[in-house]
Amino acid sequence: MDTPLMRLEDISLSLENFSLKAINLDLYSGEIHVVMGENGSGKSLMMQIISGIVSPDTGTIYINGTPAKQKLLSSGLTRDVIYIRQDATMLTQLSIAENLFFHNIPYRSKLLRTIDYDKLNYMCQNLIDELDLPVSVYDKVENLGFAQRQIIEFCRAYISDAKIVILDEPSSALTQSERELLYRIVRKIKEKGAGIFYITHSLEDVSLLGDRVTILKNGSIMGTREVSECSQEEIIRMLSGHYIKNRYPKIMIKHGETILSVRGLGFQEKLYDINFDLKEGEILGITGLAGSGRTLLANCLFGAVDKVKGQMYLNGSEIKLDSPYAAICNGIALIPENRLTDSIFAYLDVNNNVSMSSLKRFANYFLLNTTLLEQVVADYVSKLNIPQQPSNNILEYSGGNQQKAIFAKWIMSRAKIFILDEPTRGLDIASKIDIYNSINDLIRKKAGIIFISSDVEEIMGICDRVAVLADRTFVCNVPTKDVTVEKVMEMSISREP
Amino acid sequence: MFAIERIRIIKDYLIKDRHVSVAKLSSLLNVTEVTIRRDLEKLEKEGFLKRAHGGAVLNETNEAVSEEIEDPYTQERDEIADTVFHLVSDNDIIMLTDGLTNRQIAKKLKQKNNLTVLTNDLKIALEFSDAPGNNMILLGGNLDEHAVYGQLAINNMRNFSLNHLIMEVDGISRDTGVTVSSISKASLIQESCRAAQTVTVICLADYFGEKSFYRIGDPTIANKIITNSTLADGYKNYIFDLNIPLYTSVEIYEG
Repeated sequence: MDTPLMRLEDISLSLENFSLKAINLDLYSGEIHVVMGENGSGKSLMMQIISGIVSPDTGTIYINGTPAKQKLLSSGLTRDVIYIRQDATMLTQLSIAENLFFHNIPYRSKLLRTIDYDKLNYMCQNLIDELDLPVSVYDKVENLGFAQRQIIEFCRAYISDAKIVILDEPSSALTQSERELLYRIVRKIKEKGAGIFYITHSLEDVSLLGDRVTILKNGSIMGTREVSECSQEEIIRMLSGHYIKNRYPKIMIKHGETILSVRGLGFQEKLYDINFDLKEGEILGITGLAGSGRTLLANCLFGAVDKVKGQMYLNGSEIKLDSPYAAICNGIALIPENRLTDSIFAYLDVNNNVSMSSLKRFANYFLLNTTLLEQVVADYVSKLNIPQQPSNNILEYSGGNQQKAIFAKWIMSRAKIFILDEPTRGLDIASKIDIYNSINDLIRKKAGIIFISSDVEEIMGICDRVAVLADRTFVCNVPTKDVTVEKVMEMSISREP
Repeated sequence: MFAIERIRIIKDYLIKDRHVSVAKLSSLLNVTEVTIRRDLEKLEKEGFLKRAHGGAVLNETNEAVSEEIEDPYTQERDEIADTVFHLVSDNDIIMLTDGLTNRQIAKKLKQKNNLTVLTNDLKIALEFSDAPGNNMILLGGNLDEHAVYGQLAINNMRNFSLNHLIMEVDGISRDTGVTVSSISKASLIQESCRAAQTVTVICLADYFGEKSFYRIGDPTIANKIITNSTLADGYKNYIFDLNIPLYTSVEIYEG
């Protein structure tokens, strides 16, 4: 082939907890280049480098064979690169037409800047007819569903003159018919001669759409293959790579009675018919790809969303959780995925953060016994190896220590069921080890753990059972000793839309 | 405020000060004197203290109490023992080398069923003398304080094949690896390693970075490393990178 449209040579970038290592990648014009890799493997970071949002530490990006200056990429060249992200960025108060042609609005009078709405709507109607979109020109974006908004975003890529189009997990939230529409748009972009980086978790996308596929793992490229010459098995093997299972401190606990049973749990169109049991001293791992509903499931179990279908039984008797407060009263704790926004009280110190769920124990009529509170908190803080400066604001602590403080909060509340949503993501290794060992302490004393993680290796290392969330429900729920990492990865990849 | 927490605070207080008054505890813990008296009664039954007029004094003649005063690591050893309890299954054939932590471990493991335990430590053997459900085999050899070593012990050892070796060591460091304080102990442990399927290394957190005289081997001889919760972060990284599971025996939840 001729010179590639874009070529990355030895791109490296080190961040605090992650690094991209010597990335070599190229893209030809008229090519759909699929990029796969598990969550946190560096796909999005790589795309941010390509689109010039982030600059690499070393390495060169060539565009049409000439090295591009990073500065150019982030300013002038952005017209050559268009990056469509998962979270649609649109002006919700405006119509579809206005959004689509925002950078190219036709004016009736250049001087007065009056907009030629007839022409605008005509242009937009042409586009809608051309692509056969199920929307009207006059619809306001705020009235559109999430999927429709995404489709509009893809049209933006179509009408732009960008040579390089980046689509970040475009298909994950779409239904079958919407997906076909997406494929049609992507193929049209390809026909125009643009090169497309297409990030996805779906093997179906690869076989239906891709020309070449590149697999990333832990910030390195595992390989690039021609889709026509590569089997699905080979892709799965590259995705799972080499795993180490035995470095997690797992203890053997005899499981006790069933403490939590969930039957037929469903939520809107996103989750349906989820069943599982959790026993005393058991760790149930739940994994699945981004967007598979892991966090949503955690919220359902914690009463943080309304209108959850199905039944939950705690120690054999049915409970209704209409609020997180009800869940806490029933001894259920949730450590949410997003620490900064959902877990910590940013303006309070560590003492108050840690004691937040157990204040009742320190209450003396209407007053808090703060001396006692401080003593007990200091005890928990030192046992979890959080460097001791209890009067400090929690924001001044490292991510690992914040997470341990949140852990302390729920341990102190003596919850019986702990739902941990990505408890170790982005933490340093020492904090991870502290958290694994604290989990061991919990199960030793008969708590039940629901451990949600996108890190399959971690799940296999510390959980007793593993459930895989895909296609809106559990596609398996088996003891970890009976499956392999590869098998779990394979199951988590969506088969049907 | 829960009873368990109160009892722990009272115990800590007594170990530090040796005596305490009811009034003092009542104001410190913010509960009535009646509750405190009940807690003290409970602790007296356990033999931890003796009640006196208006308060209590530590019962220093009690063996468990005096051990706790003499050995500053009693609590840490106890936490480690709790973890080891969950890593040994019924019917296992294990070996416990001599050491203070392993003695605590022996106390816990007594509750298991049909365990076969090899040891070179007389006190550990004694622990198992009142645990008829388990099988205790004491190695023979030259006696040095409370344990036997030497060629005899090694020859003895060669007769057995182990599921699980639990060795207590005196130091783990980056440059010298796993070390102990005597050559006879080192050679006995090396011999036991050869006979074992799984090797668990027990080392107090404060002994990481310490170098004893006699080297057993690299840290990678361990399949598992168990320590207490105060281990420095640097060693956690180091051991995780060696792909060895590290158990830090966190004791925090009051289930």
